[in-house]
Amino acid sequence: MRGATMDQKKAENKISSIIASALKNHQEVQIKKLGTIKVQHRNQQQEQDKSGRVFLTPPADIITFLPEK
Amino acid sequence: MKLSHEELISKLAKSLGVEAKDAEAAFDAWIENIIKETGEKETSHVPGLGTFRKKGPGIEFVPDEKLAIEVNHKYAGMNPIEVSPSFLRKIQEKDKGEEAGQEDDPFGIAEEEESPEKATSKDEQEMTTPRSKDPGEEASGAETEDPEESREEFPEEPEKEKMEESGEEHQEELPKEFQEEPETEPDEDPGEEPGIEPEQDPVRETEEEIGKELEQELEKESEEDPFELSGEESGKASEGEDIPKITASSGKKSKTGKKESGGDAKEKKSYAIWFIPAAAVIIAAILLYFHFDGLQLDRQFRDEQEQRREQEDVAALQDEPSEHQVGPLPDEEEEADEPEEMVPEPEPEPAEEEPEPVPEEPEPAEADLDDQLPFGLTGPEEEVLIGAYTIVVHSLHNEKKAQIERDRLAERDFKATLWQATLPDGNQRWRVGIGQFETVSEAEEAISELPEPYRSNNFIIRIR
Repeated sequence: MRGATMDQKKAENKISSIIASALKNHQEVQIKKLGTIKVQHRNQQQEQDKSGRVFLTPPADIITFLPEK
Repeated sequence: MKLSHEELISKLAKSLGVEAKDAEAAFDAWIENIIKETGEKETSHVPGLGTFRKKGPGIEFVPDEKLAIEVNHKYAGMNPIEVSPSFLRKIQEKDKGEEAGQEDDPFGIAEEEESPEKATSKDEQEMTTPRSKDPGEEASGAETEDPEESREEFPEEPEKEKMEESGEEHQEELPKEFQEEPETEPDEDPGEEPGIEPEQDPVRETEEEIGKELEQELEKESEEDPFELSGEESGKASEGEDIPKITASSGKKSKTGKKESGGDAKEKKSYAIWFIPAAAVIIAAILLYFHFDGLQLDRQFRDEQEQRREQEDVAALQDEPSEHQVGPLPDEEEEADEPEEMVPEPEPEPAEEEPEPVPEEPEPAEADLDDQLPFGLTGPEEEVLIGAYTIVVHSLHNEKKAQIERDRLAERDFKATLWQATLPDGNQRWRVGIGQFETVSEAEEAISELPEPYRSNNFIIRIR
């Protein structure tokens, strides 16, 4: 029983590492019953705060999650 | 670029060394555990991946901070910058300028629309002069109206307006001498008209005499005036009938002022005398420039060929034992020699030297990644680790400058790396990086240890 839980723990670690490496390579990962995790690119933006100061936000690659319906 | 469920299961099975069924069972158990935890505790943390949270009827995912940085490694360390007011003003001024430029266009059109009206007085003058000076019309005596009367009539008659427009175009095409004519002509016109002329010159009473004089003058002018042809050509393009009028007007003008037309011809000749040698000198200068440039290119090409031969000789002499040193050494020798001999050569060099360091580097990196792990900020540059992160402090066009900067950093005991990168727009840069790191966070930590010019001006990148 204990051996089985250890295997499950190992498998979970492997799953998370596989998904993480896929995301690092900007791959979209589809997880059944949960949803889809993917990397989206956001362009640089120009934003203005309440005081009128203008900021240039750099571009970014962001991890997004789309839950399964 | 999509990792489907099946692919994920097969990868998991491979990495665990089990069958696909067992891997899928483990995967399902992992998912059920997450759903169960989010249902009970509202959050389920997956180490190395992130946290699943319950949000309303669904689930949201918050990625692990380290993973988010790794994914965003291209832009790591880039923070929002406040745009200075002066820069903003410039942008706004540019925008305004563009808008104003767009507004100017319709104004320009309006001006063009107005310009014919403004030009009517000039055109009318032009139109009046040819009329009175047309030898055919003079002979027939069809036009005996005063110029002032004709000015009043032109705007009313649409056909004549067209004539005016074409006359304006015609005037633009003509040389200055022709454009200036109308200012002097109206004064001369009354004297030239057949009705008035006999009163002023009783000697030239008969039409035959006038006709002979005109013919002679026309012949003279046709010989002297080289611009008459251009006037005729442009006239043909616009109005065929006006051509003789213009030539006749210039001919008539000379009747009262023969000295003026003779002076114009002399001026034209003098222009031609100056223009021809000037053009010859310019052409000669251009030819010399291209000839000299071609010689320089030939020299550069020969030097490049010599360098290639030298490199091949050096490579042949140094056989296989120290592969890592073969690439950089000849380059350094060239660098020592080149600045004295050939200053304008840096452009062709990168193309030659690119392939040398690149193919050598990946092999040891892939082979001994796990064993040696030459990561860190300081130390000698043993090898470039593909996939490692580095802090880029210089990105230069010139390879020599990049090498100088790399050497400077190496003297300060930094693990300096030099490689050539191709930008998305196709341009190439020589990048100098400090240190090699396994993760982005390590690289970010190392930035704080850098001296000031580099601490504030850098970016982290993955060596590929």
